[in-house]
Amino acid sequence: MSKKSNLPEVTAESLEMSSSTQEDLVPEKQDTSGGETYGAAQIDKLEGLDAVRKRPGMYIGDPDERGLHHCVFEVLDNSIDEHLAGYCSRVEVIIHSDGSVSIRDNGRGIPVDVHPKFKIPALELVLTNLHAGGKFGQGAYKYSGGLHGVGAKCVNALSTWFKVEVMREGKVFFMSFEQGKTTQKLGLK
Amino acid sequence: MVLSELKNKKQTGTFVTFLPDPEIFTITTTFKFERLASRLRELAFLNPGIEIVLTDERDDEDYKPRHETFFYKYGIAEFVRQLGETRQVIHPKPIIISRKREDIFVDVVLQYNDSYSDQILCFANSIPNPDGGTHLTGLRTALTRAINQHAKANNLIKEKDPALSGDDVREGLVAVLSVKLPNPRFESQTKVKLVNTEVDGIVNSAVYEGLMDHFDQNPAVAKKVIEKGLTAARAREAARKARETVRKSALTGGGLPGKLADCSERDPALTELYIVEGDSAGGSAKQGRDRRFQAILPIRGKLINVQKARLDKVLQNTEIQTMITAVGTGIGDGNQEGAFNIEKLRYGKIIIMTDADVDGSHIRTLLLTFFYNQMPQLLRRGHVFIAQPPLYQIKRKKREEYVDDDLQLNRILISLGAEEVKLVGMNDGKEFSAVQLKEILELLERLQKYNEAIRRLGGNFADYLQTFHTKRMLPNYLVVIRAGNQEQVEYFHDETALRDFSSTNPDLNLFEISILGNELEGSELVEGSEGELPNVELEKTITRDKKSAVRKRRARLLEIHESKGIERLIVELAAKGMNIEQYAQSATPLFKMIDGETTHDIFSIGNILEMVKEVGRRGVQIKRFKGLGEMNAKELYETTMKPERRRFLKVELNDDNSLEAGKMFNLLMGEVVEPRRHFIEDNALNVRNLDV
Repeated sequence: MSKKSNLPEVTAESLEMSSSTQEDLVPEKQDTSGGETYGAAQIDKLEGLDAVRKRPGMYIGDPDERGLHHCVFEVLDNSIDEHLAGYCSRVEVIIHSDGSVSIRDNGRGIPVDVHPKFKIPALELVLTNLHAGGKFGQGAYKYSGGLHGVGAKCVNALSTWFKVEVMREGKVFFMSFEQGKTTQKLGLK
Repeated sequence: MVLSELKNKKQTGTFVTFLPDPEIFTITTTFKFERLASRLRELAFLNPGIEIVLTDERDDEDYKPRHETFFYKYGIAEFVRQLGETRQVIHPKPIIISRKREDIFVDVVLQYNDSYSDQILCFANSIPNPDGGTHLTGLRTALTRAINQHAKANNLIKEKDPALSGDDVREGLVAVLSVKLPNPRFESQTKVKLVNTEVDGIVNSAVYEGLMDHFDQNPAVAKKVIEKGLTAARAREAARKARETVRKSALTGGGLPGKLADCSERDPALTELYIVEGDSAGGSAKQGRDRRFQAILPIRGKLINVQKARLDKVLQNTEIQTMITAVGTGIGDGNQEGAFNIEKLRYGKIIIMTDADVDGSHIRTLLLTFFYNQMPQLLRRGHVFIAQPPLYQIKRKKREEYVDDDLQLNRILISLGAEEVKLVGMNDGKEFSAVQLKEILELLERLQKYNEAIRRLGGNFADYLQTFHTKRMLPNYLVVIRAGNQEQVEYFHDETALRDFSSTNPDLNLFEISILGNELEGSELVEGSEGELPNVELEKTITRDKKSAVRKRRARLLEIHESKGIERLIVELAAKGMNIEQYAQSATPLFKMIDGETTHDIFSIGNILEMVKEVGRRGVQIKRFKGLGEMNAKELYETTMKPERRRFLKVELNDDNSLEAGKMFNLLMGEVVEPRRHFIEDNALNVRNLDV
């Protein structure tokens, strides 16, 4: 009984000592040289959420088990922020059989109206554009855990698919994405 | 399902669903229920009033459908209570400080218990900061300052005494610190450390004021806290001396302890230290080992229980001393000489090798308790392993084979038995083909595993299956009721039945523990003597009427997540001609099993598996290894230590399980007897073969 219950988590792992060959060989020179030209054309700005997919480590830490769960927490933090702002009393997290996960809250819902400056719905803006968000002191949130405006959109970028439903003004709005790219524009469900 | 036009026009919310991309998450894309649950629980503590529900819809080998609700009316005060649950608190009511300064909310709850370590959890805007930061610095400074100030002002420590250090005033402290601020800045996107400089001063002054107020109003609490600090200071002094002695003895003793059989390799990345129970097994291990990289340290008898004893006592223990010297890292925090330093680790793998019996388990637990307390970094970095000696050796004709566990043994016996027998149905006289029999045996084996699962919950499998007849479905809940040594089990198909039962048996308080947060509002709880927070009684053994001579009844309510799986299995079995109603013993034989010349009658489908195993067992010699000493040096090396053959369990300690682990160690190895007794009572009946 003690084996099972009173120890820190134990995982089976068969170990092998690698039989290292102790030869002092000078490593072969590896070809690490780049291309011939280096001009403006070789400078690339990673567009939109591609940056997140290329370097997930900068946004969610290592894409290991911790990073995976961190995705849920990033989305969840937004619900908690709604609670801190005084608008959310209940959050539901559901792990589905297909391996996907849902986070549902009864907060105000992400705004869906068209953004005056960027001319796309706010919902789309915050889910696809890095550093777009309501947490830079514009008045909607005072105390929030999210702060760089990267949480939810990173999760979006790192997901095979990502669906969002927003309940606002008596309607249900819907959008969906694949690997961070919009596959279904904002519409009513 | 939501419609595009909501019925309730006021309803708002956001609903996000996503599937993590396996191209990115190459290591795993499987969410762990526990990992999510521990964070959700934390969030519910930090945001009193929010209700968070976690549901798992998966139904596979690793996960069963379940759901859990987190709701805490009293917020972090309940958090602190739960963290210290397994400890004896030195003041029953936690110190609660809640202030707002310049737009920053500071909430701290502190409570001292009789342990020797401290646990302070920090949060900024509900985000955990395991590496602390400016808010933690502020809290620590304020705590030291307030305690010393109060002690001096009230002559509780003498003028000439040295002031209590930060370590002294934190000994036995459990605290949760939560700040909310408009523009939090963290060290990185993972937010492990808060860096806003203004927070330090604000937390410091808020906590200092709060503590001074609390101490002035509760001088008795202040006195206890200060006494605790003074004892800590004295013990620290004693421990320092003891540590010095250990170091000296290690130096003068010529370095390594005599009992250690060291290896020739010096590079810790390649070396292994086996801590072996008993001198005789230690001897075999020394003979059998590969001396190039395997070192052996035998330890004798039971190790001192580190959780209960003070550090200075622990360090006087010779077994502990040799172990510390052999491992090489030193122990404990701090920068002084002899403090833990991973760089000095002498062996990359530290392997605990104990007998496969109760004593062995106990010694293993004691060793792990020691590592957990004094060298937690070894566990965190995954340097500690548990050797898995085989449980059996089987001999068949001339062949010898080692078998790791009962599962593997069963499988071997079944496959051997299945080759020998034929199964014939009694009513139609039809023989099952070899393939059919194999499939049936596989299904029955799965059923057997479920049998174990139900038994572990405390149920009786045959009784449980009986309930299938009436409703064509299996119960989802089980209640185990204990009164003295009597145990009674009730099964319920749904929540309605359960609630009916609960209302006719109010003394069982069936729903109290699982939804503690809600029930706190209940009127039956006694108001705490010192203030607004009711003194929560976490035990559910209560019969309210003290005069009543009725035996106390305790109940455990458990959800049976296996039921759906078993129902499916029943269907599969039926398709193969196995009727689950025949799981119970029948009066007349159901099947014939032809085994060469002899024929056995089978009275229940459960017996098919048994009989096949019995046949398989014939002609096979099974030897059970209990002690490591039962194996000779070569066997021990071949099965347990040889890199190509052995299996180790790796002991993992990380942020997800450290809380649980700490609680578990406390529960099982600590001072408070009552919860441990209940734990043992509740689990003892579920262990069929204690002498594992």
